[in-house]
Amino acid sequence: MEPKIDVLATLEAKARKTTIEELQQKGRRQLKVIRASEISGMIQESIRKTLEASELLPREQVDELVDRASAEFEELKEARIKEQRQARELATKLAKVQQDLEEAQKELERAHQECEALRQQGGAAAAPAALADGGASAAVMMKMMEELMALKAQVQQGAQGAAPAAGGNAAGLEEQLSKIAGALDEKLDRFGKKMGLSSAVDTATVDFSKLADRALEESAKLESNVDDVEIEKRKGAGIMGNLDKIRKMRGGG
Amino acid sequence: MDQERTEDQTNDFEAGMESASSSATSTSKLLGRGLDIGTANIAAAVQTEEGGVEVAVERNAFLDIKADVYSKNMLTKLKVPYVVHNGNLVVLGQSAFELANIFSRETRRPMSDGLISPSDVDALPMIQLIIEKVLGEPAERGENCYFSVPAESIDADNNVIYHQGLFEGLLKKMGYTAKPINEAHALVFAELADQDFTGIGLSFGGGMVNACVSYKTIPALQFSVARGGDWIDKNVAQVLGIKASKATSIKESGIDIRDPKTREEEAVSIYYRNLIHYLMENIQVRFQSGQDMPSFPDPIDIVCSGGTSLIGGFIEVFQDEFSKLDFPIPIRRIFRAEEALNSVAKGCLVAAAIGE
Repeated sequence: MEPKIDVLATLEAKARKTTIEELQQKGRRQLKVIRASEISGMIQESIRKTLEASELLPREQVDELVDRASAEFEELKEARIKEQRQARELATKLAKVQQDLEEAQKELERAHQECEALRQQGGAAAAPAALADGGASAAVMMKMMEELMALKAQVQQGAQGAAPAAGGNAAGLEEQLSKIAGALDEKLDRFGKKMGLSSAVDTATVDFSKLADRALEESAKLESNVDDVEIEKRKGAGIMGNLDKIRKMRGGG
Repeated sequence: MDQERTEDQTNDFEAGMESASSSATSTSKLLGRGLDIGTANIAAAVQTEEGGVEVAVERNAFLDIKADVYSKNMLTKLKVPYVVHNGNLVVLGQSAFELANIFSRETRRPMSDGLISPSDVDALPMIQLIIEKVLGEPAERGENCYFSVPAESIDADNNVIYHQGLFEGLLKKMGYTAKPINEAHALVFAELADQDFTGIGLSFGGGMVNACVSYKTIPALQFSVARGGDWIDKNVAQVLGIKASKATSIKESGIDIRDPKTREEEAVSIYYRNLIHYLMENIQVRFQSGQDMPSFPDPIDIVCSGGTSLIGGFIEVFQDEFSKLDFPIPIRRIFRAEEALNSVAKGCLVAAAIGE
């Protein structure tokens, strides 16, 4: 099939946007306007007349060709309108996600401040105990983590939906949504780490005992006079005062 | 700011410590041990039945010399600790440092930048021997031993987990229940009891400086910078064209960084100022970022410790550098721990005794 000319798209691509103020500055007071569809119609009419005048095709075929071109043109126009609508919807969705993210961040900040206030009110042991035992602050933080994760899933869904929509705008939006998803990942990790949680699954602890065994075996084999040499020791102030203070702060006496 | 304790306390520190030579567990009755595993020194603290604390300290270094019968006999006679390793005599601890200076050589260090050295294959058995020597055997199987670990560095990519896991394994094999504690947090346990363990602890070690902002025993911020005494030595050595161990020797020869008398002392003073400024600037930035920061209702103390803080004029220079910053929280006083070389070990001991 011969390449089709998308008249509307071409017009759009070659057209330049300007403002009334800008035109006024250039001394223009009046403008003549013409609809894109009229330009398109004029072009089609001139093509039809050219074909008829050339006598290369019989009249019926020219009409058929014009009808087919018009149908294709309408089809393309519909597709473009649909793309534009999708792009607008995605832009709205992006703005909503950004707003949700900002609100979630503010919520987290508030939760953090609440946690801090509890820690200060409760003295030495209160805050960590609340966190460790799943107290009020921990519950708030957990809720926030869940909300953030849900938000992240929503963003990722949006990013996946943006891809098939095609078009330049959609690609840009997809990139933006992916960036937000990435930022959310970082945030989740950071908050998780602060709470001793992590999005990573890691059940295995690294065991270095074999290395320690090896060092002990190695040093045991060495000929040495270390045991016969006395080491200098110094006597200093005791720690009973420190221990009493800690016990008192913890309410143990 | 209270400057009551800002004078050079080196002499007080020496006077406050009574030298004694006895076996590791001879006077210990109370359970719990504190172990400070530092790049430059290893110190172990234990409570005595008189209610005091006994601290054994050894330099964390070794030096290999050619093995011959004469040298071996000489070392044995002089009671210099050594091991025979791969056909060489390896001198351990302070003696290694002294010999290195005499023969103008560099000591080998089991640790660098606050962590077990990955490049020296002999590091592990040597450091294990030094730890055994200073810590001794547990009074009973499973006795608590809290050992110091550095915080993650903000300016270096270091593997604290490996370091921590390795020493945990070593101490367990020795019969202890081993638990890690951040060294600057341990310092707060040792020195800020009168402030309800609220304030900033700064441990100026050989390999790094550790910082801990604590609120009522709870660490709110912990981090380290991979600059410490060794960084000063390395830079002084570079600019003066001398060995790093020589630079260490100059630094430890009783100079006062407020009033440097020679070119060498001037270089030491410059790098000290730079280190202090760098550290405080980083604490300031973290405070200003506001993350995880408690709001202190009253002015707080800053306590410094570690071998690197023992130099003359340290606190005055610290205050001078501090005054150049717009620090976001009010500070009541800046002082050096009276037992600056033992504070971290004592703090570890506090944690072990309380069973934290």
